[in-house]
Amino acid sequence: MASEKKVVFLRSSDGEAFEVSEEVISAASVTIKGMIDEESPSRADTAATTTLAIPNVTAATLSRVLHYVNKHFDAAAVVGRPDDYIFCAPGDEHPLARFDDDFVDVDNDTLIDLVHAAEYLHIKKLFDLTCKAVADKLKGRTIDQIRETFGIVNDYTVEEEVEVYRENSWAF
Amino acid sequence: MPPRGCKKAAKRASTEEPCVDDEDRISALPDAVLQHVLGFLPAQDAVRASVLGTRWSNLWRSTHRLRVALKPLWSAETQHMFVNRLLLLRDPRSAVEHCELDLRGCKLANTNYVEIWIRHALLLQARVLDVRYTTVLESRSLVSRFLKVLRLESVYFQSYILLDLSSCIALEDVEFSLVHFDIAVDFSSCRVLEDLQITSCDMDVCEIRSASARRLSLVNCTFGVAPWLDEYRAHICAPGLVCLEIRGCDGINPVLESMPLLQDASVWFNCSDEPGKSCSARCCGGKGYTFRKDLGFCPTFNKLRTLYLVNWCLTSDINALLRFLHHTPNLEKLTLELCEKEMCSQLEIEDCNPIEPRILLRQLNTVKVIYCISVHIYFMLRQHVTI
Repeated sequence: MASEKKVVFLRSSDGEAFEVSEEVISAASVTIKGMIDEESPSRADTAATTTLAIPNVTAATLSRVLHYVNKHFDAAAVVGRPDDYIFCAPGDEHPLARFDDDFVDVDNDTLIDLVHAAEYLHIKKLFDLTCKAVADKLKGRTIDQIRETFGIVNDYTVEEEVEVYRENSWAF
Repeated sequence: MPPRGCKKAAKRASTEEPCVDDEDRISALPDAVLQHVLGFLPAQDAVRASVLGTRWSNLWRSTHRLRVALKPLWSAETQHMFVNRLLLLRDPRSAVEHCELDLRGCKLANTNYVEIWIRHALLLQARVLDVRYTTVLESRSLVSRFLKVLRLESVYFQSYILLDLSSCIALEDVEFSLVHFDIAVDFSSCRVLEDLQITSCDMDVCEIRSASARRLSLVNCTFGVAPWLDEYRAHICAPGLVCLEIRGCDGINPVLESMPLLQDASVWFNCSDEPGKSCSARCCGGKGYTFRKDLGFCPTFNKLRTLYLVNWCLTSDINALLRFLHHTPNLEKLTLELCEKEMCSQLEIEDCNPIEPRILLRQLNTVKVIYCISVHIYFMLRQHVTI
């Protein structure tokens, strides 16, 4: 059975198809699992491989997402299944912590693409990781620095801005 | 197994996709996503984000995660008002999934406030509650039907008051660190509790009781106040345990009640205050006493497959270990890490009478002995144990 692993193809918004193990992607993405479950009655007796359209995600982002998914959800590749209880010595960090740090060390646009993709595909761990990475870029910066980093337009009128500062003065 | 086209696509990313610097893509994210992002920020930063632009104005009021950290530079009054506003100005309809209260810099003289905040967080249906560094809490109960994960670090309860978790029926995971317990920790009502991690706690308790817990870890804890009185020894009554870890603990070793489902156990008990010299002769004598006594009513660990004994002190008697092995018929892996040679090398091999009947461990395939007298030990084990 192991040699006959089922695969699915995911087609990105710009038409590129990516192969991924059905088991791995089902464990990772609630959205794709739902799509596969819907498809499965019709393909039970055919040998044809399924291709699923992922209209909201570009090839560049999808390839990154699948890289993450294969690292985190491929039981064969992960040391100790995530749900297993491993006795970790103090100071041990999660074996994938380093990978995760590097994974989100990208420019703002790429990061926001990943947030969108993780949300659409419903991959909770990736959604948390990418949202946290966005939060880390907001943390400890002044309002002006944040606006500059992300190109946020201050659309308050002067009066409104005075009011919103007054209202939230207790947090400044 | 990287997906096909992975490298090619990654290259395209840098060349084909235009970098749109001036487009405000972050503000275009849906509310739920921005709230999720804000939830990872300290509450103060999340509130401040309101002034970024109209898109951000009230988002903090319904984040699902609340991370409260008190600035030590604030006055007690400012600290108090900050948390009050944070909790009261929230949208009361949106539940807090995860509430973190880091009270390291707390200057409040009146800890009642802290209790009100905790209760308020629980009323907001917090599923994960993380409380760090409070002064003495008077309240004894955490009341919540929703709470799944409870983490307490450096939290002090008024002495002789039992932490009452009986209403926390959804509790699955508990982590206590640097918490002082008196009397008992009773998780009987937490029927779905699976994980219990207790680190660096003073356990002046008679028992830890949970019928459902599958994993228990006790690390660097101190047990017991009156080691000479047997009734004061801590009892661990957790019949559903699959994994048990006791590491770096000291005081008087707890009594482990029947654990018929145990599969993986690691037990390392310090027996001296001096680090590095963990087995003084006196101490070993004391331990030997309780150990031998415990073996008298030792249950059979049918499912125990891995046994790791660290700083194992045999003094002049290997029989204790052999007796224990009598109770582990399905052991697969045995690791003995012996203590320092000066302390424990007076092993009198000749005095060791063979135990009858010979121990039969059919499943045992790995025996690892660490430290000096390994050859003797191994030789002796081979004498008594049929593998």
